[in-house]
Amino acid sequence: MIILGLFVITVMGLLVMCFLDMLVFKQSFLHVFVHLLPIYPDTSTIYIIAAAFLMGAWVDFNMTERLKKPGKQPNKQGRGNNGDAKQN
Amino acid sequence: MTPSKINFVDMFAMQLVFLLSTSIIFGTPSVVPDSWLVGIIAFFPACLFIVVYGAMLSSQKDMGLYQLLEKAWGKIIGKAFVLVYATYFLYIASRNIRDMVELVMSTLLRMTPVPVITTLFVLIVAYATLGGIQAIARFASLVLCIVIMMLLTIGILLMFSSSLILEQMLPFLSKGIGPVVLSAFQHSIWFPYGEIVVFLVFHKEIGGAKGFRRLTLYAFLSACLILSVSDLIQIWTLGIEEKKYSSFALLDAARLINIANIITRMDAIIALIIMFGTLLKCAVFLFACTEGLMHIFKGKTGKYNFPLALLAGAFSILVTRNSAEHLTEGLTYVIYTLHIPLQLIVPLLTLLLLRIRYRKGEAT
Amino acid sequence: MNTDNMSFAGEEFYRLESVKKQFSSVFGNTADLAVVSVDVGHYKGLLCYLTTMTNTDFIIEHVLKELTLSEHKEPVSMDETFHLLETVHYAALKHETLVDLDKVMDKIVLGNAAIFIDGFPKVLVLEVRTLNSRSIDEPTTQNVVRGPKEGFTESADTNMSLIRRRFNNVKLRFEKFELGYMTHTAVYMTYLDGEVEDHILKQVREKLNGSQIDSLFDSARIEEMLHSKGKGIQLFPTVYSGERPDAICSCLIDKRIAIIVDGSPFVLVVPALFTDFFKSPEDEYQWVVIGTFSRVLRYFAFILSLIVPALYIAVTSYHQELVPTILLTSIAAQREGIPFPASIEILLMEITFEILREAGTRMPRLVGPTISIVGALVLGEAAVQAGVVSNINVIVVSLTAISGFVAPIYTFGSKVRFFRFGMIILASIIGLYGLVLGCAFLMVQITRIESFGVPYLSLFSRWDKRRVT
Repeated sequence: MIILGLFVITVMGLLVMCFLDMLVFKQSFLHVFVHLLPIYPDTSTIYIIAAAFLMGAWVDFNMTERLKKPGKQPNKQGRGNNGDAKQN
Repeated sequence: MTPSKINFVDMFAMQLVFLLSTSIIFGTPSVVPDSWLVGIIAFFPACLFIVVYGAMLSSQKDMGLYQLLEKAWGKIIGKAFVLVYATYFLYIASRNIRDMVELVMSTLLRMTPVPVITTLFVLIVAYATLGGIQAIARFASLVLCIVIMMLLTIGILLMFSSSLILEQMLPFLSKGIGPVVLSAFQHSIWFPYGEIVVFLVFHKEIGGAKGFRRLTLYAFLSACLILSVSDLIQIWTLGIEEKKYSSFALLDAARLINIANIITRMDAIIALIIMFGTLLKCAVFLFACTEGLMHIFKGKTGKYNFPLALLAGAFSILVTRNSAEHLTEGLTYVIYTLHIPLQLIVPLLTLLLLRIRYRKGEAT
Repeated sequence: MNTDNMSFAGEEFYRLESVKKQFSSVFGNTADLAVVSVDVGHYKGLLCYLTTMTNTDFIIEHVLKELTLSEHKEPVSMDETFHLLETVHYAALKHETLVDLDKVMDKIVLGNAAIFIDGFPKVLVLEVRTLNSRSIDEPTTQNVVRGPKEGFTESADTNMSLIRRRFNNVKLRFEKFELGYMTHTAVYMTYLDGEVEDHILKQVREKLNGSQIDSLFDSARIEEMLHSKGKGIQLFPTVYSGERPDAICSCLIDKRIAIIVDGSPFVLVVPALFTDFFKSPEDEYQWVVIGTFSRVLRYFAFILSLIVPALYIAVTSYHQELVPTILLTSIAAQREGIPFPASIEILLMEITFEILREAGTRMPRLVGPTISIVGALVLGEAAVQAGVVSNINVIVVSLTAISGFVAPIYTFGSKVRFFRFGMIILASIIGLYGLVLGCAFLMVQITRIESFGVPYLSLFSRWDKRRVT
């Protein structure tokens, strides 16, 4: 669900910015929107946004667990001797 | 050794730094003479916020902004409002980041690419929010010490470099009290005082309605005092005219410090210290935004922080095309389209609805 | 267990031969096991102990002399004999009565002597542990000019007595734990009963009981275990370790828990706060102004050792305009002809210093002075003259090095060194901005840490005691 939340808030944020730009520059919505999209001239923001979505997706699809699963079981050495640490 | 509990002083420090951080560097954003008066006058209407927000919190038990919205407006509209608030907080956070970046770019780093500066900054903001509001508050108390020390140092150093000329504040009220009051109502009460709305989200940590009223009143008083003193210092050093048209007045004032040709260029150091304040402010906004998203979309604590921080960073680059637009947009359009509705109108309506729908006694 | 023994009414009578056999099967042919046939009053008995955990004089003086029950001429019954031994002859020694042979063996390993009586079901276990340990010396790490000069030793008994003799209070508790399933090291949790928050006590107990380590030779292992693991990494130490009884006692007064590990002269204290690492016990023994001054000086030195090299790099390679002109020309004149950029120059000297420090601590004491000569003359003086590094660089590095050692607690100082390298790298990549980001990161980190629920650094906590929500 994180990725959905991110998507919604991205759209909302872009809309707010468009709306304000419309007021400031007194241009049509389409014009402002195209100008706002981070495609040209500076592409770096698209990477940042992509990274954000990647992070969200990573958590959403539980990637850390999935990558771990084919590997070995967590080390259980010493578990059996748990009772040895006794309190007097 | 007492375990951690909610610390009144830390919370106060957080509100104070929150109020000071960006406004101290941009000064009272007004093109009137006697801008130091603006700060003092704005304090009184700003207390209205305390009344409204305090009433909101006390109308229902143990409910923060998001819960109250949902309670007052119903499930669907309430959630829509929560989303609007979350977006608003994210937007303000990104504006603040942009402010900081402009500042750093103009004083220190002219060559470093903006995305690098922004990304590094937002990552630390996200890291700060991970610890929860109490950790942010403790961080704020550290920052508060630094900021106050900085202001004192500037004052003292300016005095020693004999740049403080008291006559510069004359003529006093040359155009009458009218423009001053107008400016107070147009700018100062919405920014920084009105932004306190974000603290409604942390109702529990701030100690309910009673704690909120007390804390915020103290914070407003101290912020008003400190901002006025800082405005006065700027006017005494720069003069009324130069102060009016300078974009970073405090920096310009600090640039005049010169003691035996050794202590010079204090402005860079101040710019760096302001970064801490911005970091805190962004952290508070970001935390409020994550709470909002968690309220709507659910999810574990601490999972939204890093992606949202990155989004705020990206928005801060997109938010304006140049600094001229940034200033006009911030000083007029944002106030009328975002600040006034979301800081005053929606809370007032919510309060009204709550009062009508749930009368006292039969509440809950 | 031992089926050879006669069983009667649920109790097992020990036969000396079978006991001997069992001992040799469990302990094998270890050289320090003494199984001696003795006369206990009128009966045959067996005395077992480890010669390495006691000394022979003690055994002869306190155990063997009493064993014959010489003043009782007429025979008494076995029960009577045992009772006499227990209540009259060994009343002064710490003793207990056991039945289970496995438990007896465990006790023997810990330095007890066991007395078996032929055909009697109970075993008398006496504590005869007398170990040679280092005498109480002046501590090596936390030195003071004024104040007590005693330091903890490796023996936990001595350490406990050092604390107890400062605390003549019935509330002082030493709770014993055994850690390490191979070594069974004794660990004592020390606290003032009723003063410490219960949930902190509970957490510490849980951590000590839940440990799964095989061996424990120094308190550092426990320190790692107690180090609070919240979300993410925690770079600052949250466990205080001290070698001075007076420092530990003042922590106990402060409602904290001390942990004594047998075999380690470093006693741990939890929860530890940021400010603790800047306190020296001496501060309290002096005029308050001087104490405060030296404490402030330590904070200042901490900040210096963190940022000075990074600041130097940032300023000289990115922000020359920030330096006063005269200083800038002087630095530039010195750096003329230096082949490296400032960052490499600093890193070079910092690493050299780290190597020197490491060599200085690990070296045999006799060759110690060599290091200082080599370090000071060859690497300092000659490097500058050869034009490899500049004078100002040597000043910067030595200033940071000295400031790094001001921290009274060694573990803290050694962590600061790592932050310093991080700062240097950040500053060489993005200048002052990087340095400030690094500082911000550390500040956020400090304020985020909670050590057993107590905030690690909370500036205003002392003024806010009344409010609990």
